[in-house]
Amino acid sequence: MIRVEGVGHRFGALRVLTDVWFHVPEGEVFGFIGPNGAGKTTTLRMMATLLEPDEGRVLLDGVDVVDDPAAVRRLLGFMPDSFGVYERVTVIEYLDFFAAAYDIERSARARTVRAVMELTDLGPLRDRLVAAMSKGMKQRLAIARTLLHDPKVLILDEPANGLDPRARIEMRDLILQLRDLGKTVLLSSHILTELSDMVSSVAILEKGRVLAAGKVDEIGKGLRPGRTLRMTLLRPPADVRAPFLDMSNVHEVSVSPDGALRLSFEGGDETVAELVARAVSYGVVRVEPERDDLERIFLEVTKGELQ
Amino acid sequence: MTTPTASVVAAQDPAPKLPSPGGVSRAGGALRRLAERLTDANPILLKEMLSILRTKLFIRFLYLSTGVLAISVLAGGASMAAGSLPPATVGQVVFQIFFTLALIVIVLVAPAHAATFITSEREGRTYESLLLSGMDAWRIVRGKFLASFASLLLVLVAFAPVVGIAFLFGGISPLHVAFGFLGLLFVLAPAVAFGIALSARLRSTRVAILLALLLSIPTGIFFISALVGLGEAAHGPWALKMHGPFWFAEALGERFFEWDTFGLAFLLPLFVVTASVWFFLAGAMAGVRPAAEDRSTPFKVWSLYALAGTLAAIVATVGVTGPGDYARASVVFGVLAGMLPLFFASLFANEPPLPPRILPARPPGPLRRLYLSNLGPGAAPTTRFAALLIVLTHAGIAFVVIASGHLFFPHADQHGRADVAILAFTVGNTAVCLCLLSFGALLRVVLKNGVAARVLAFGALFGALLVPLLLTLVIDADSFNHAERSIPPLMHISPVMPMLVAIGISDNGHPERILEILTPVIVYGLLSLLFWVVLEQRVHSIATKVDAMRVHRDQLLEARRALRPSLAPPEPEAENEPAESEPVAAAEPEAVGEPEASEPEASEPEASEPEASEAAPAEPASVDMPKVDPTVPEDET
Ligand SMILES: Nc1ncnc2c1ncn2[C@@H]1O[C@H](COP(=O)(O)OP(=O)(O)OP(=O)(O)O)[C@@H](O)[C@H]1O
Ligand SMILES: [Mg+2]
Repeated sequence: MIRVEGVGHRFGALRVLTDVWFHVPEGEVFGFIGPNGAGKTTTLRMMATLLEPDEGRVLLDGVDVVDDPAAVRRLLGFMPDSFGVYERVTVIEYLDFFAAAYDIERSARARTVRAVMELTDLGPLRDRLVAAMSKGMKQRLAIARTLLHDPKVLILDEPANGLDPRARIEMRDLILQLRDLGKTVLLSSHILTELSDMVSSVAILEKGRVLAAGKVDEIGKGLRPGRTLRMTLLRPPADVRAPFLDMSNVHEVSVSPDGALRLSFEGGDETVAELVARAVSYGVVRVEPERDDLERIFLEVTKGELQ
Repeated sequence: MTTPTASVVAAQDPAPKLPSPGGVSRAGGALRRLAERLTDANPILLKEMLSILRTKLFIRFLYLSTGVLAISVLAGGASMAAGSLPPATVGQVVFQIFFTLALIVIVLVAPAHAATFITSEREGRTYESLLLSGMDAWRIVRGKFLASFASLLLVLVAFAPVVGIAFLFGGISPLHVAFGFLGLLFVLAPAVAFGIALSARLRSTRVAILLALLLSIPTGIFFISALVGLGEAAHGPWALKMHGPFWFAEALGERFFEWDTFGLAFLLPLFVVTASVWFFLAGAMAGVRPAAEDRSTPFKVWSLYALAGTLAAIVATVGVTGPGDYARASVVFGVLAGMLPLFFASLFANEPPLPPRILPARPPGPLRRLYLSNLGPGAAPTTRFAALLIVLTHAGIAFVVIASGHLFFPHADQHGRADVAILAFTVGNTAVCLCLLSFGALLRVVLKNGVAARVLAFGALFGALLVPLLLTLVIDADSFNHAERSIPPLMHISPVMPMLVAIGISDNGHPERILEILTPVIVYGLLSLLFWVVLEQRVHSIATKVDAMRVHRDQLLEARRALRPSLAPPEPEAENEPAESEPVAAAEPEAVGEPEASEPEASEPEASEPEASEAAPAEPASVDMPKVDPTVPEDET
């Protein structure tokens, strides 16, 4: 859906992007991760036709963003990382304004605005002045605005920035809902946990270069082959490795700070069943796949060189 | 969707479907769309009015200014009435006080008020979403203009009852008041358009307001005093009773159907107002449009209107001169009108070398295609357009002056010399303007900066004006004493030579002296031909290079894409880029937020290849690629 090909950019003498190359597949929630100043916003602004790349090209649904920005703008909803809203209008006036700006016919406008307000839970606030809304509500209003013309692609620059935990969860659910509506969603973030349970693919950017891009589990495999399982036992043995010693496809068994075992191994679900069977006599309380895949990937890929 | 586990919930309960933005069948759709368009208010106008009416400051300004105005008018009226003036005169003075104060408010407030309308979107970071909504430049500019105009109209409406004080004394009629308000609207419209144009081209609201005030105060003073002066001139011939800037209200009220009053006090101002509003709005559109889009076409359409109106104005002004001084007057009008093509030359010498890459939404029809490829945006076609326009303007001036002279004064004895004089001027001035145009356009392409190009071009023009003059004075200070017989030889290459020849012929006869125009025509004509050929060639080579580089880039990217699986994994770093790690800190200007979709000078195709071509097979010669910048600098007026 979105192809970023060999993109480079500089601001004056400062080179911020170097040969950035990745591909966002259609219908996915794609995470764009990188430390502060990595160049995420710069890349996203290029996709949104707000900045022209110095090198390379960006294609949205096959359309070069430089050649036909108008077509790209119809395809795309963009929420910048910091944005303004018109303060002295109400929520419904605000959305109605943009619906008219998007050239939605008058007869369809009210219906569209209502549907978008329902989706983003803004219905109860419809007559509230925008100036009197909290940051989280404004964030939702901004997303609502990007949805009015029913774009195929949504690009959200740090959508959870400045939101409280509850609002974050609501934001996540909204994004998943949008995915279910068939939209391609690209979000940037430097907070990994908030992405890990919704994105299926990521690109990791640091100092303007892509360090890794692709499906989360594929990248993970590439970094450390095999899978990792967390297993909590009621009565862990003294030597945690003991029960699994003769399994040649188990690479490592360690104890994490909370007492659970971390098992790295190679193999499919049979292996998982085998591991559980061997641990049964120690009282298996819980088995779960390791949750912090994204975080681990991120830390390993970026080698901690935060800028 | 408020529960933490809603990801599961969301999967179960189908999310509300977004209705797709309406689509109507083609056939009846077009008509209905048109009807809807006409009845549907511009969204920006609507939004701005809603916000303005909710702004306390604006409402307070409305109360306060109306109050102050009422008190001043009352005080003025009272002090007049205390004297021995007849009530009718007092009424007329009160009338003038009211409208003059309202005029001052407009001149001061309107440009500054309008100047905030687009910068505030930029500063409030709402501008990008506006652009992304796909609103075109004209819709934005029109909405902003109408909104600012309408809110100031509210101020005038609030003022309106105060004029009732004048009626207490008499001496004026409702018609006078109506024309007085019309006059205010005639000033309001360009004042607002000027503010919008400023706003479209600046980033900071404060700078915009300051600049608007700095420019509007002297302009206002000049304008009001000129108005008073014109009134005194018209006083006798039109038998006016009122003095003061709003004399025209009486003139129009009493003699609207006299052709001279109608033409000079209504049509001519109407033309000036519409032309300046149009010009400012075209400038605002150029400021709102990204650099990569067509910024010059609105100016081109405007220039045709300006030309037509100017020619009509010449007819009218020639008509009011007497047959006695007709020859001299026609040359003066011709020379004055000759400023217009000079302005055109400067206006259109600010075009980026290449036409915009951005394609219009609808495929252009045959006529439009013809326009786009021959006279459309881009340095070469625009220069061609402007050259045609300059020739056309001069031909029009010559024709109109000569024809109206013969029409109005069929029996005047000065026709011979007047006609030859105006011919000499227009032919010579055409060459001078063409030279300025092609030189400026060439400089613009070479320097990539419109302001610098124009400054240099005008510098050269003044140089050509001053050097011969000074040299002549140095060589023989007395040579100007017998200028009416022979113009000093060095002055023949001066850009004012056509004017000197024309004045000489119209004052002293000797139509054969038109031959003296040959030197400037040849000199400036050859120069402009030279500049023009170089310009066309230069633009052509830039276009070829840019095309070659794009093809090359695309080939390269295709090749590299083929090497990668669908989701590109990281490449082994080819480290082709030594030491590019600038200190990252201290580089966050960020402040302004680009007013254009592209950073100034950021979209140089030049910068694009060399690095991306790491593993490149043979690269086309992209070494001394001239910088092609689609960014037009921030100025037009
Ligand atoms: N308009 C600009 N002019 C100059 N430099 C800029 C501009 N915008 C961004 N930069 C620089 O480009 C680099 C990348 O910035 P960018 O905003 O893309 O990073 P980011 O990954 O979005 O960071 P964050 O997580 O903080 O939002 C930074 O070093 C920044 O200083
Ligand atoms: Mg950012």
